[in-house]
Amino acid sequence: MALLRVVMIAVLLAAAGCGGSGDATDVRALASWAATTDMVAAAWTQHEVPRRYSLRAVGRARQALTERGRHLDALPAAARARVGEALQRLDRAVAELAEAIERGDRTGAVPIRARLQAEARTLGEVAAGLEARS
Amino acid sequence: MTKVFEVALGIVTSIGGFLEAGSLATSAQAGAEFGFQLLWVIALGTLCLIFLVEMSGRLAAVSHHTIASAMRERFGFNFFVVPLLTVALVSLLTLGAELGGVCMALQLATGVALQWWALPVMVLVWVLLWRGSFGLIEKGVSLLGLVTVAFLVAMFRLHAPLGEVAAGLVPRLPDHDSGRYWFLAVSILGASLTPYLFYFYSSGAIEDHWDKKDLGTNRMVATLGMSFGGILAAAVLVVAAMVFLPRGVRIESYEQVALMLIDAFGHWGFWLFVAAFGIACLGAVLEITLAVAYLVAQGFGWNWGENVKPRDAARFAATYTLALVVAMLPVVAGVDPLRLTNVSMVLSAASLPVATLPFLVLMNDPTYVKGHANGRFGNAVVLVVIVLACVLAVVSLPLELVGG
Repeated sequence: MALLRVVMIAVLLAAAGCGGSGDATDVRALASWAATTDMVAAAWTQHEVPRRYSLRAVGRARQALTERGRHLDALPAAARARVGEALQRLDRAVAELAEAIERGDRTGAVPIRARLQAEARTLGEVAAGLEARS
Repeated sequence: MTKVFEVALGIVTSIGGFLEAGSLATSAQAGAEFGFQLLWVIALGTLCLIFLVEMSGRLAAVSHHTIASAMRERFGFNFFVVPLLTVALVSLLTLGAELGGVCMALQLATGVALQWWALPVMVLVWVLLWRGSFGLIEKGVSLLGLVTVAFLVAMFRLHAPLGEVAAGLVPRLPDHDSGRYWFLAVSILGASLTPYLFYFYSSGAIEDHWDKKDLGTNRMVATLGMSFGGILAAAVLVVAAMVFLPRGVRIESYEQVALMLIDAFGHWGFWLFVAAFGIACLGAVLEITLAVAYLVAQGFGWNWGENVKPRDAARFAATYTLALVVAMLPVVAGVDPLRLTNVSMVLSAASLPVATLPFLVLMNDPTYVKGHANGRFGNAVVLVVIVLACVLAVVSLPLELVGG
């Protein structure tokens, strides 16, 4: 019983210590998926990954962006607005990338990479700001 | 000469069979999020694994008992049922994760959803177990698994900073995300020390008719094979740290991990990853399925053996068939294989005291190991690591589930 009590206290203390960065974690995850999509785009335009894989990976990224995008209510207002705008632009860029891969248009996918990188940077900056505050 | 060949083959198959979904996923996640900081956990897990594997082989060679049969005989069935159920349940969960890994590799290669591969993969594994011998399973798939050496080659092709890599072997506290750091640490320990490994190894030693003459081979295979295997897991972490960390990619899905060898090998990188991942997971599926069947059959005193015809060990064959069907269910239900892998690795760490403490008692009981009992150092290393892994698992699993 004593061991169980020690473990429970440790869990609660650890939970209290880690709880503050939950919203930053979601923004960090969004930035991570933006960077992943850029990696997929780079590999696909250079003929390093097959088309079917690329489509699935981009589909998985869109799914993750949608899921993570639902958990932004806890963010401070300014950060929420910035992330919301970045997420909209990111969603458009990812959708265009999916269409380019579907068409087999590697040249058309190249300029999308710059937009993906820009959104990854923006989201990364917001996450870093939130982490610094917590 | 035959002895040298036997040792070399044992070491090579240990290296080829070391990586599986658990060690690959947890090492990649650790590298992507914390750079080289968690390398020390791989080193600690590998050190403990060397001791446990060597003990398993020693017990079998000296006493001609597997861990399960010795445990049942020494402690009685009423006691043995606890480790039996614990190890069987954790192994089934791990089997589901590894089966999901094979299906994911096929999805990466073909684009066909992984759920569709669950049944064909299950049938393939079942046919290999039904028709194959222990040697085929132990050596055949493990030799194919040598493709995982690609991660080590990638580490050198990417010019890993060896000084910083070496610094990662020194234990340290995290500079950010401490909850996540310890969750990954315990996942790595769970992946390194999955209980099925040493239960399988002791059964394999009996299948191969080991006796005291094989103690030297056992020591060499355990030490060198597991050390080189640990180096492969470390190479996965290093490559992930060099590829994903600078880009800010955190691993949440196997689709992301599939990109990790492209910087090192270009076009071949993707296909090398798919082959390495698929073969490593297939090897693990075969071993875990057999391990579950060994454990249950030995626990209930049934006929068992992969070299025995299925009709002569019908309940053993029925057990591995049932294990495969049960493990297939989460894959068919669409459970994310990476999430399943993470949870099963932590539960694996949590189950370590139940799976290993009675085994440690056996390894100090002269009735079984005669003059070959454990030294104090071996006992201390195993005891400290398994208690540490269990406490970390109990603390970090709720955090991960609640905090995402």
